[in-house]
Amino acid sequence: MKILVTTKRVTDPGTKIKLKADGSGIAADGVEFKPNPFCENAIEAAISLRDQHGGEVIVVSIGPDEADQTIRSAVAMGCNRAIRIDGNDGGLDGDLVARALAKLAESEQPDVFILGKQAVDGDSNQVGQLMAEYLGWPQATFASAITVTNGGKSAQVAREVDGGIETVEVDFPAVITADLRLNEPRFASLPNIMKAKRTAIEVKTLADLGVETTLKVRTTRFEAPPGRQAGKKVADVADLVQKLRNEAKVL
Amino acid sequence: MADYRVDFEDVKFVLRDQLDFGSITKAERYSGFTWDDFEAVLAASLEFTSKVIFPLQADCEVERPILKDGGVTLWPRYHQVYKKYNDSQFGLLSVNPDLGGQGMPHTLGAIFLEFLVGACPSFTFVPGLAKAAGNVIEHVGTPEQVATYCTKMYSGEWGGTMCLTEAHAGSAVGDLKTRAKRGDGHYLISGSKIFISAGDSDLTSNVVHLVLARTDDAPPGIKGVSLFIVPKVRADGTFNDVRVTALEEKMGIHGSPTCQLSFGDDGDCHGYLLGGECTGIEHMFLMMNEARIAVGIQGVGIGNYGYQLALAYAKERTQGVDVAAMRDPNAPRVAIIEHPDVRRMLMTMKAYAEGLRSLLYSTATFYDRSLVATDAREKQRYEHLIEILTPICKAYGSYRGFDIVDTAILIHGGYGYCREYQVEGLLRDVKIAAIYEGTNGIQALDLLGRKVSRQGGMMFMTFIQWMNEFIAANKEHPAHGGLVVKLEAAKNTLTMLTMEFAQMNANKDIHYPVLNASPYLELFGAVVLARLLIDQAVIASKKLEGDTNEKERRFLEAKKHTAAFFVHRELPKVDAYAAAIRSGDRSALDVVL
Ligand SMILES: Cc1cc2nc3c(=O)[nH]c(=O)nc-3n(C[C@H](O)[C@H](O)[C@H](O)COP(=O)(O)OP(=O)(O)OC[C@H]3O[C@@H](n4cnc5c(N)ncnc54)[C@H](O)[C@@H]3O)c2cc1C
Repeated sequence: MKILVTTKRVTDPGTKIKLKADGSGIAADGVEFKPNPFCENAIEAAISLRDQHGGEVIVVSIGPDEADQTIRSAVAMGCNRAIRIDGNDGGLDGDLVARALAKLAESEQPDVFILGKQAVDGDSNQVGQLMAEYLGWPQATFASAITVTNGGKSAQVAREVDGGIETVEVDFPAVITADLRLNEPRFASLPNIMKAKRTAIEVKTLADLGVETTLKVRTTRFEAPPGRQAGKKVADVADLVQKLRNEAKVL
Repeated sequence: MADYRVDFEDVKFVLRDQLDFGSITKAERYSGFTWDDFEAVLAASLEFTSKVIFPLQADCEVERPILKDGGVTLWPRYHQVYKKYNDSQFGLLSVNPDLGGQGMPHTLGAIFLEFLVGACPSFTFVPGLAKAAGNVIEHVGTPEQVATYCTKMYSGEWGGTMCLTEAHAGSAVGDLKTRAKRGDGHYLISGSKIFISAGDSDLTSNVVHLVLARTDDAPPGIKGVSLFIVPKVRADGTFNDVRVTALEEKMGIHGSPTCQLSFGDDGDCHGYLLGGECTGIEHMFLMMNEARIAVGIQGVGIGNYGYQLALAYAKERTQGVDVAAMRDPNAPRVAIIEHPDVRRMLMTMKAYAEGLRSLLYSTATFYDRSLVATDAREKQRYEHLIEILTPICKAYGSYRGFDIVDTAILIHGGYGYCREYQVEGLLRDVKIAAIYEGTNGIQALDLLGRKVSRQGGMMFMTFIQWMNEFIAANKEHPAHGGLVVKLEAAKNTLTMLTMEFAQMNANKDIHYPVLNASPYLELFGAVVLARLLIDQAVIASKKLEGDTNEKERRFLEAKKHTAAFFVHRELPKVDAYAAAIRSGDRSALDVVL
């Protein structure tokens, strides 16, 4: 089985980010990056499928040189090969990313392409869906369980949907996006970390892939949400109900 | 429960900026690595420690090892964590590649230990003792012994112990009574040991005990002691007549099974000689520096986490108003970090936490540098520094590590005294560091009685040269020269006192110098820490001249304050200790108690 899987560096969700004074983006000063957690679920799924069924896992990321560190942590988890599509990861939109990955999928021809369901920076939740559409492949998003069926020709995927789990079967080649409960990503072992540091990362440009670089989404401005207002204390339940009805107007 | 926190910026600052450790990759032995590798491995090991090891600490406060049918059982989650630890192979960081390791510098292994021991102090015992015992076998054992034991002990498949202590032979190891009778291809061991860390557990399929014992016709005292490999299970799978007779219920480190062991109850306990007969203590000494540095690291790891917890708490907890607004009942309530006395406590903790980290890393890097030194004099210089600094790492590291956590409890107020907050647990865990691996009292004797006076004071001279080089290079520093002048005065006091001790010895007054060994170690430690902290301030000033972001600037500015704080407020203790030592006061010797 040949599996393509994504990783993306995102600003560390555990740290406070600051905006540039002119609102044009996030201040890069002292920002630390972490791999997108949903991508880590995708990688874990890809590696364990490979371990069960054989084959190889190729990790891909779009970003500048600095994204190599994030790619290497995916290799350290156990991916066989690594590709970086050179690009400014702060200045892309989901559509361009989907088109670039679709091109790569056309040339690599994997059985499955597994992605994180979304990246925790922009939270767009679009790339997997758009890419499946561009490729004309079936898609199973928000996966919480994946079972390969039909002797490796398809997969049964449990999807987390509102109100429960929906199980779908997709024929390969297919696109699957990973949700948090899919698995618990492994920690890379020390020998694998060292091996990953010596693994060559193949670099492709958007031009190599023949991707048209016009964006469909333009970011006009970043703004911090307004600070939280002080709350109010209510005297008793009657007071609470009265306030919910008359002030908040939610009842 | 608060997350595990390590100031990784400080870790990198000490290793990269203060100790220039990246340069060790120029040596043949480490030429396969880059600074980048070191940083990546440390970052990954810290992440692993925070996520996998740290959660076990809460367990260790409520669960206990259980003694059943002569063996020790640990709870299921302990087993899961231990498996993940072994799978990660971080414990093999600095192990010899021929025995399954990565062959990285020992300093990195020491820093990983700092992360681990801060996250869950008692977890470190089973893997740590297997590694330490394996290390003795690797250095002293025959090729067959190395092949039989080392790889399995390093990988965590087998455990290991160091069995020195007996009920009547603690500090005085030479009084031990366990016997080794020559037999056919092995010795028969009989006797009992107490306080044996990681003495048994069901985490591993075998435990390889290194036992100090006396052969039949050995001379009395320490010179008659030999070292034996005594596995719990023999190579052919038979039980080797080693039993756990009791488990200690302790003040802390509850996740470490501290065992009483009985060897040869049925007269059938095989021991295999390690090295020659009567060379046991020599071999133990070989590993002593490393073990003592590891204990100092317990002080660093636990102390630093205590500081991190107190710092976070002081920023969150609001109580009272700014002292300038005391009369105004409507003055805004402030976070306790705004109160000068709390700031003083935090700075005291910070200075010791970071100073100790620098001391322990320095000593660890001296070891790596001594291994790769090509010039005999350079090698000797590092060896001297290690010898002098080791008792200070162990005793000063464990004393001050405890003090830091003690202050962290105070900063938490009543909450600090309660189980729900982690600091009181850290205090119970860190206390042991002052006691085992030679009590701190014994360390002071080692420093004064052996290290400083040995080889006609040669090692001490090397140390003073290390101080003098720094003082000469920085005395004129535009920003920190004033601190260096104070350091020089303290260093001169240390030198003078050391010579006065030599004089006392010449006068055949034996008890008075020994009475002053501990104050001398305290004084010595303060001088060393001042040197390291001022060095950090000098480096910080230099870095501030270059390109820095806001976060880095804050970190570096704080370094300058830390050095000034320590030199002005802690270093003066040197004069107080010196006055006490010079007082000639013999009341402790003369009193009838
Ligand atoms: C949790 C724990 C784990 C341990 N793990 C191990 C282990 O794995 N292996 C092992 O072999 N041992 C281990 N020990 C034993 C430990 O090393 C000893 O407890 C320690 O060396 C002190 O010996 P003791 O308890 O007999 O105290 P004593 O030697 O009786 O000392 C009592 C006091 O007298 C002082 N004193 C004794 N002699 C002198 C002297 N000559 N000059 C000045 N002061 C002196 C000491 O400093 C101390 O303050 C462990 C102990 C504990 C509590």
